[in-house]
Amino acid sequence: MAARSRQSCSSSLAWAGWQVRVPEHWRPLRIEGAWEKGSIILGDEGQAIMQVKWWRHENESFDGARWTRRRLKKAGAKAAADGKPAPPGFENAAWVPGRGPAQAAVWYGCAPAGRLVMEVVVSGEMSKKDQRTATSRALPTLKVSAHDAPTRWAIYGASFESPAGFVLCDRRLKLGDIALRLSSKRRERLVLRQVYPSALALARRELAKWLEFPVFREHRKYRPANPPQKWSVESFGRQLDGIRRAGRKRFPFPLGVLAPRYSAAAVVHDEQLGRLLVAEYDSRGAPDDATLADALASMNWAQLESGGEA
Amino acid sequence: MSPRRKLDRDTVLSGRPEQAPAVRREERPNGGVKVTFRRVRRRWLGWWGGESEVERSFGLDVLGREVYESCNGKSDVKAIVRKFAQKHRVSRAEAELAVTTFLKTMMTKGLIVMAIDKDRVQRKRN
Repeated sequence: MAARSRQSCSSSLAWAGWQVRVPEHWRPLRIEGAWEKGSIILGDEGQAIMQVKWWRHENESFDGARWTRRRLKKAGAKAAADGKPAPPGFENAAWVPGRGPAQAAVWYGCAPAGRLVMEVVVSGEMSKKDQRTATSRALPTLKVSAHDAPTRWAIYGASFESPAGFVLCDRRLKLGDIALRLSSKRRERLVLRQVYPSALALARRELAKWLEFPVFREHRKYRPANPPQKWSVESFGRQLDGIRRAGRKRFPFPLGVLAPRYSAAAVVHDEQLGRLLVAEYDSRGAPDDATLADALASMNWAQLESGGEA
Repeated sequence: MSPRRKLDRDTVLSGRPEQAPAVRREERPNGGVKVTFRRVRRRWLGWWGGESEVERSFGLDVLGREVYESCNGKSDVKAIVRKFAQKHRVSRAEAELAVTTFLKTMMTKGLIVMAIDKDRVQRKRN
């Protein structure tokens, strides 16, 4: 256990506009909420170690200092003057160390760039070394993406990047099959998915078939405009080959004429990482291949960028 | 009788799983394996005239077979997880969750048994 506590924070966890570096053996134990607010409990196989809560505000005149004061008042706690973790990009941060041996320590902070306010609770029931890892190594790496910048996602072993303006609507997190559904205010939808190990996935179903079965339930049915075509995308200096299809999605008869959507989807095989990368973009206007290509090209940034840094 | 206590993560990861003796093994076309072994029936079923032991078969796919075959009584769970993560290029946390859940299922079905260091458990409890 001691050796593990000294481990560096080598793995990225990114969700809903924030990201943190954690030890490799930590994983999300519970994910609640969605884009606007939610929480993630992080821990290892045996115990919960840290809880990250977030709230998003759209108000530009949001008073972070007042929010922090009110959180402290609600908790009936006094912020410590020194020794507080200081992640960059946060203002009005407050640190409440655990008062007793089993008392949780809490950190509050506001990130104006991402329009996020965050609360991080570090469990007091674990060993001192694990507490130190959480407060001195993981918490200072916390950062947020600007609200008008692309959002990064990294969960378990899969990482994605969604274009600015897209928010999380739905998710399916199964080991070996991780999918996110995002939507924008312009009624665009984007599904990002990774299936792995690819050898097993391709033994079960050929590459083109991975586009035929939607991960999330939809009322509209896909009608192809052309047969699927070979396609490739440039990702971190590598060329990934796959298949692209385009068509329309319509409601079943007799509602087919109502609000049809254009859809473009592609699946590529990343042989280096042994993964199938799938993206589907649909909108009311013509399909946008650039969004699709960007979504696929930026997948697995956590593994492929140097050290996984954003 | 002492109450059942949950083992901590380190103790579980140091456990050495071993295959239960199988009656037969059949190769499957998808690269998996079908393992058949004898299992003691619940006593109340015997009252109805059933046999005391029955044969049970379990089909394992390629990944399941790989983990099952790693259960040789020498490698500990930690080593199996590390090997699985390296081979399939998945994160260690993900491999740990997948492998430990699968080992738990195999233990419930009686396909494997887990050897845990008794002294280690005692030390942890003290």
